[in-house]
Amino acid sequence: MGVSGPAAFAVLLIAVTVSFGMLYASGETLYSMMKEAGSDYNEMVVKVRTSHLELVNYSYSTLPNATVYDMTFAILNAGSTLSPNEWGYIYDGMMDSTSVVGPSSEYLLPGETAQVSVINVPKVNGTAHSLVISTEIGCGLKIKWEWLGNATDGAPRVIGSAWYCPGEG
Amino acid sequence: MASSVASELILFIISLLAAGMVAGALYLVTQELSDGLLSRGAVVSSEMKTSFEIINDPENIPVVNDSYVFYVRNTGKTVLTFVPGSFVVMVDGLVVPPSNLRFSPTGTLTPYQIGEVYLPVSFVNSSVEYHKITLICDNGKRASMIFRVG
Repeated sequence: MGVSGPAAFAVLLIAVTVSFGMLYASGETLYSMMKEAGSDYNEMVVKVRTSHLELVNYSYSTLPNATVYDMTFAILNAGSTLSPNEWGYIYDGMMDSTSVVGPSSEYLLPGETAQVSVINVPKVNGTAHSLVISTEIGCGLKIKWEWLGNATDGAPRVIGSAWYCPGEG
Repeated sequence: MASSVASELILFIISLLAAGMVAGALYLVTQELSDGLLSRGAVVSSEMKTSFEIINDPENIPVVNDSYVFYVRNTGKTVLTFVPGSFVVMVDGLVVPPSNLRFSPTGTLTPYQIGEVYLPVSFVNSSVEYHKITLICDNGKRASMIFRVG
């Protein structure tokens, strides 16, 4: 037999070592990929579960004899930190960036309050309006209100508000 | 003596060839396994990082040019391909052909960005008050919303 056996063994040993090295490298890449994805996923889930906005107050302003008014809502962050500059505003069903003025700050910390205003709302008695403050996580605070009075006199009343997250499936 | 050396040499070459073939096969199998692990990992990773939601006011779906407008927000960590062919849109369990849909903007949605899906009103039975829309993206992630019309 001479050197044939050891030489063949050496070739096989090198092949096994290279293969193991390749598998190890792939396994490590896979592990870090999954770890990063798992971390991102957990972050998204935790953020959805711990975020919460609440309507704590509202006010309105109008000019004498004007047929429109501005409505301002005070929103309390009762959950984890959110990013108001990523929010979207859906006023009466439409995504609206002209009639709604929201906070421009980068973050809204837990316990902080922000003002969101809807401008030039027509004074029509009993007509319900809605505003959805859609946060960066997909959950939103919906507020419904109406004007009670005539075209020049009266006051708005908040009908209700709800914090909700869209369901999956 | 000479024949002994020759046979030893032949044996050596044959054993090296056999070992080389086994090593080559092992390398190929390992390579395939390694590629499979990485590509499957990439798919699972992409699935875990993908998330989107329909953020409309469920009571008030806007109608523009005879189409309901649904707002879709990318709430994930990856860029979403946002073209009609990349999403399956179902209304009350029935698939809407992609050729009937319009997406805006067309192309991609970056994280946090909001896009619009225009669904012709003819695909929603207006005699029924409540409906369910489901969007399924190309990696199987889905988002649904129950909404009211009329």
